[in-house]
Amino acid sequence: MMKTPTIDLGSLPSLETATGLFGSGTQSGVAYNDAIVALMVYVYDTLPPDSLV
Amino acid sequence: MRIDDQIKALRGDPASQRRLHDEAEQAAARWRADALGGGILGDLKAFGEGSSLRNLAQLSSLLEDIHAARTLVDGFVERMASLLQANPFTLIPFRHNSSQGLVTLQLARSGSATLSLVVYEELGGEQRPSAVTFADMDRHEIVLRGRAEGHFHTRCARVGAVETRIEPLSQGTRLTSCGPMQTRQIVAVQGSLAILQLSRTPTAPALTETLRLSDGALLHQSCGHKLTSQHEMAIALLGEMGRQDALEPILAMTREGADHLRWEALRHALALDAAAGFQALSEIAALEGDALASPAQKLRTQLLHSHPELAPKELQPCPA
Repeated sequence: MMKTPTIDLGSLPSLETATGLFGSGTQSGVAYNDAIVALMVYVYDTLPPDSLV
Repeated sequence: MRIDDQIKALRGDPASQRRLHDEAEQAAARWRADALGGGILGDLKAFGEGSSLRNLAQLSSLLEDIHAARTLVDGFVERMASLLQANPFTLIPFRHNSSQGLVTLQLARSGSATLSLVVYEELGGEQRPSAVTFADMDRHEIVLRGRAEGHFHTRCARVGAVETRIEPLSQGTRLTSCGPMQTRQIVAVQGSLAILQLSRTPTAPALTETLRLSDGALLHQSCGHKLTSQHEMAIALLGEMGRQDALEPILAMTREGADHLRWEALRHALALDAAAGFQALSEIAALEGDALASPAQKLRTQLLHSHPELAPKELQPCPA
C-alpha cells in the first residue's frame, strides 16, 4: 500500500491577494473606524460564584 | 484597587443588580413600543428583507424629516438619561460601541437592517483622509446636530479611480450611499456631529476594500461576510487541531462559497489528508472558468514535484 505523504500547512501558498477577516482593515489614512458596523454582545453572568457552590 | 462604596454595595446584592437590569429592560421596551411601534419596526423589517426605502412611508419620513428624527432621538435620550439619573450604574440595554472619536448606539435591528445613533467627535489637528474604505452596504442618514464636511466617494468602473464630491453637513442634511461602489466619509467635525443612520447589508456582501485616494491603489481587502469569516476561523482551528473528523465539511467548503474561503479550506484539507486534499485540488484545477483553477494548477504541479507519490491517487476511483 502506498504511503500518503504529510504536507505541512506552512508550505502551502496563500492566494496572491490576501483577504482579511470580516472587520479587519487598515486604519491608516482613515479618520474614523466607521466603514463596518459590527457590535459585539457581552454576556454578563449575574450569578455570584458563592451561589453556585 | 479602590472600589466605590456604591459599586461594592451592588456587588454584594444580586437582587439590586437584577432589579436595575429589569428596570432598564422595561424602560427600553416601553421606548421601543412608544417610539417605534407605530409602523417603524414593521418598515425596518421590510427594509431588512430588501424593500426599497421609498415604499416604506414611516421609515423614510424618519430619514427625511429632521423634526421626526429629532423627536425620536430626543425621546430616547430623555428616557435613558432619566434612567441614569435615577441610578448611575444602570446598564443601558442597547448595543453600543465607541472607538476613537466615534460612538455608535443601535436603536433597533431587524435582520440585516439597523437603525443607529452615531456621534462623531472632533478629532483635533488636520485629519484629512488619505484612504477610503468601501464596504458593501446601503446607508441612509440624516444629520441631527452639528457641522462637518461630507466626502462622498464613488468608485469608477475602471480600476484605480475614486471620484470625490465634498459637501457641507449641518442639521437636516441627508446622506445616502448604496452598494460597494459608493461610500461617504465624515471629515472636519466641528465639536461633534450626531447622525441617525439606517443601514442594511446584503445577504452575500462583496469584499470590503480600502483604496488610496490619490491613485485608487488597493491598500487592503477583507471579507464582507461575517459568516464566511466565522467558517474561515473554524477551518483554521480545526485544521490546527488535526481534526480528521472535520475533513468532510472542510472538503465541502472547497467546492462553494467565497474564493478565499475555498482556498483556505483546500490548504487545510491537504494538510489534514494529503490524498483527499489532492483529489479536491485536482478537481478545482480542472474547473474551467473557476477563479481558483489557475492557482490550483500551479499548486498541483508544485505538489507533484515535491510529493510524486501523490500522482496515482487521483487515478483511483472516487469512493463517493
